[in-house]
Amino acid sequence: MTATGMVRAILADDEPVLLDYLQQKLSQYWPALQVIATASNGLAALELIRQHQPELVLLDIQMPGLTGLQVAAQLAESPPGQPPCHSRCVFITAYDDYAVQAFEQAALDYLLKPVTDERLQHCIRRLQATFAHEPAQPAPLQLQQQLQQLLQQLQPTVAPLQWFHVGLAQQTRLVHLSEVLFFQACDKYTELVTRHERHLLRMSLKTLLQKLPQGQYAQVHRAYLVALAAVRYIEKDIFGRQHIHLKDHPQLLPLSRNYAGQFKQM
Amino acid sequence: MRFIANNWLRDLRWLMLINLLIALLLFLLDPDARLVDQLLYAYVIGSCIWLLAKLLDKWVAAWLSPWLIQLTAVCCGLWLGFQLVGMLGLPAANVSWSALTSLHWQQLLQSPDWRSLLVTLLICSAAAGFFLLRYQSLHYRAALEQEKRQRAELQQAETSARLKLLQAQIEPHFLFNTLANVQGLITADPAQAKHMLEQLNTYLRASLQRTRRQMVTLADELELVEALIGIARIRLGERFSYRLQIPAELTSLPLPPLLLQPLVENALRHGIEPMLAGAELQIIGWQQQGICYLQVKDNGPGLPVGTSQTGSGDGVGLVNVRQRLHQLYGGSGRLHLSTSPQGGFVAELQLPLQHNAVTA
Repeated sequence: MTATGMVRAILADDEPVLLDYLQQKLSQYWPALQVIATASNGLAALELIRQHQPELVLLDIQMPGLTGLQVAAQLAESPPGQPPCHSRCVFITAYDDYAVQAFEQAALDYLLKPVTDERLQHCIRRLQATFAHEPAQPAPLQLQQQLQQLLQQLQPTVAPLQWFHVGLAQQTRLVHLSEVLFFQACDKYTELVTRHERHLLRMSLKTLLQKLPQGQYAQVHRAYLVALAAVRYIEKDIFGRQHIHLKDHPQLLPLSRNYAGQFKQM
Repeated sequence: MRFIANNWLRDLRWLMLINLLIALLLFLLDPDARLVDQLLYAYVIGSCIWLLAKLLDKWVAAWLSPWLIQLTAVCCGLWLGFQLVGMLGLPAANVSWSALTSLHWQQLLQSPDWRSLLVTLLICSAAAGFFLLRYQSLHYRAALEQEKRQRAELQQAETSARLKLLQAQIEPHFLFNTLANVQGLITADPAQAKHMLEQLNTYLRASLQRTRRQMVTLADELELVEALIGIARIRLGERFSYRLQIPAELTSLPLPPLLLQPLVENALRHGIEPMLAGAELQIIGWQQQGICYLQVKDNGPGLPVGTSQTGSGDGVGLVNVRQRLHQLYGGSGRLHLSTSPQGGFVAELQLPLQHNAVTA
């Protein structure tokens, strides 16, 4: 809150129509609010907020550059040499059951798009009360942690390896990890076998195993790596040799004794 | 192929029954025979044959045909059986039995009782044949069960895939953002609001009808795609431009619904929306040597690297398209995904122009 008791705000939304609409509605229901700047991406928002230090910030979650949550998290971190951030954040999200739950838990303000007048007014009243009663506080450590947690929850890190660049020469193709049934070592390369196609990958089996998500893939032979989800059953023949039958592929994979231990429980 | 089921107890019951019947038959055929003797013969010989058949099947099933195994089992089992019977103290019933056990072939052929020996052999073969047929029928029944189960599973997978498709079609984030835009435009620019609503209408109606129709034309699919793009243009404003280049003669091409739309949606969501400015979407089509090529290109960040802004679900829609292509076109329909050297993502559909429907 500035000395005169005025509340300044910065709005951020990547969709221009929504930004205009929000600004219009705010001026309708909170005429005393001064919107000093708007941003259409997360990076611009962060910079503007740091520059102007507004009391209130309304952030759309889905924005290019940085998301609303990422902006808030960076603000809460207060890097050295910068004054701690006082801005109170309100998040705007189109639809996300999970996000809404998370917001409620962390007691953060949020608005759902499309914003109804009633909901906006309710939010405004709450904010007005906050600004009237308490002097601006720098973001407490608790809030910082909450935001970090939220970030983790709502933006699950992409698995380290989800897409493969396969193929040779000029054209590389892309194959998604979920399509791969098994990997077969082939000299220095690895063959990626999907339901209908085979591709060559420029990666050794060992490197591959390290990069694949844990618990979903198993090495069954010196030269074979199989996706556990693709296994139908394991058969033992009369000589004690074991073979893996796949759900969607006619090829049988050998299960060598060295690696048979991991399937003992099955 | 192994015909012998692993249900020893059930087999044992049948064995006992067959042996009993054989014994009775022999007893009835030969007025001089004693029932007890016949029973003993039948059970010992029968069990030998049966055991031998089981063991042979376990060891050599890979190399010998089942009939050959049975034949071997009958012959060896008979011989073994007689040896055992002899050891048990029963007198050899007649000359031919003893000749057989001692393998005196000359004596055997000259003996008058060779008929009864032959009868025994025939009966044993018949019994062995019975067992073999029974196992075969069991095997076929099991195979039939498995196929039924597989078909049921397939049907279930198909139904759930359809459901998922339906659920995934109307993406809530897209829907509510669009509605919010319409809300914003109603007072500010009512004509634009109306236009947007019309496009949303087109998109929704087409999407919801899609799963029921087998085939649509490329023109239909493009109508849907253009509605999507039209909405995106209003939502994203200046930072997005697009180019549609499809020759007129291709637009009447029949193709399954929802092949092009997921590619465009993917491009918008992962390629266009995350860009700060200068986002470009291109949809290009051409035909070459009997194949129709449809390319959706964006100059966005390509593959999501590091933390994805839009969370999980990247690529799953594309994988589904690939699977459907294979289902519908066999090997001749393809989806190629690649990143272009300048950055950006290219999704290319390859469809045969002459499409013989692979599945209904």
